[in-house]
Amino acid sequence: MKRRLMDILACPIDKHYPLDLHVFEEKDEIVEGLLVCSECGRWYPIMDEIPQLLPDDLREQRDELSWLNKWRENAPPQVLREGKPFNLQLSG
Amino acid sequence: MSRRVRDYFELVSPQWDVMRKSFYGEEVRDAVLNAARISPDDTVLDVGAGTGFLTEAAAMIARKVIALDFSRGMSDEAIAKLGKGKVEFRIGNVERMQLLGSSVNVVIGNMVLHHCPHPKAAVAEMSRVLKPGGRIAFSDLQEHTHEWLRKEHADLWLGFKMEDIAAMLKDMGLEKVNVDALSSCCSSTQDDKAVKIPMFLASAQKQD
Repeated sequence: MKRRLMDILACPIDKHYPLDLHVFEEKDEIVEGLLVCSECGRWYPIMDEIPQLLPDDLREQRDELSWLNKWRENAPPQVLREGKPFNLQLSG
Repeated sequence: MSRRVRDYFELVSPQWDVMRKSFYGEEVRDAVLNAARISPDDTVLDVGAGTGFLTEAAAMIARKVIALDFSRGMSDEAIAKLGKGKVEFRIGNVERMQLLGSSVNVVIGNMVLHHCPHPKAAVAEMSRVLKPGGRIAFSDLQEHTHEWLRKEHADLWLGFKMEDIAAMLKDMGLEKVNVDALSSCCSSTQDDKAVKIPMFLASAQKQD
């Protein structure tokens, strides 16, 4: 994902703008990273350069949590503990 | 419901281009692009972009194309084929889009609405993200009676009445609303019998 994409990216659920960006790996583009809506507390992954902002019912909890766990050293603690729609705390 | 549709597309993504060619041809793409009147300065959003049927042609004209699809499998096929030069790929749902309002000049789509649980929500979102004066153009199936398509191809709606689509677009406050039959049909087979389903092309413009 190119950084300038942030200019038109909003939370798909409450349309809050701008989203908070946490970059984990960057080459020409952001390869891995996290987008967080400070309004509703939802987090969205940027996986292999592609931002994935799906509504809750289309998200893959297991895959996304295992991805989040991989980046737990880099992700904000609040997302790990209280991020929506699921977080590492809840998954036990 | 969306999950079932998405799972279908994840499953068929490697074969989709071959399947698509058996359903309908390039003339559908030409019709949508003509109606969208894309210019070189435009940012175009392709909703339900899939493996890039419309994306590819739009990227030849527009400055930038945003390809939105809820299936990572379909998007990965498109990325492998088209690369990321002018195209920005995003995983998201047309009924709940991740774009800021008034952010694109053109919205295009093909065969998307009949896979949406809430087509009206999808049209509302397409209208929301359009800049004032922006254009919208999409094609889909006309109303039909082929129930088996629900199971075979994860269709949620058996096409649409053209007047209902026109009313939907007008309800969003869009202008220059046109919904016309396309000369092409969507071809499929049921019990070895050829089936042809008429398609329509809808276009409209957001108030300047």
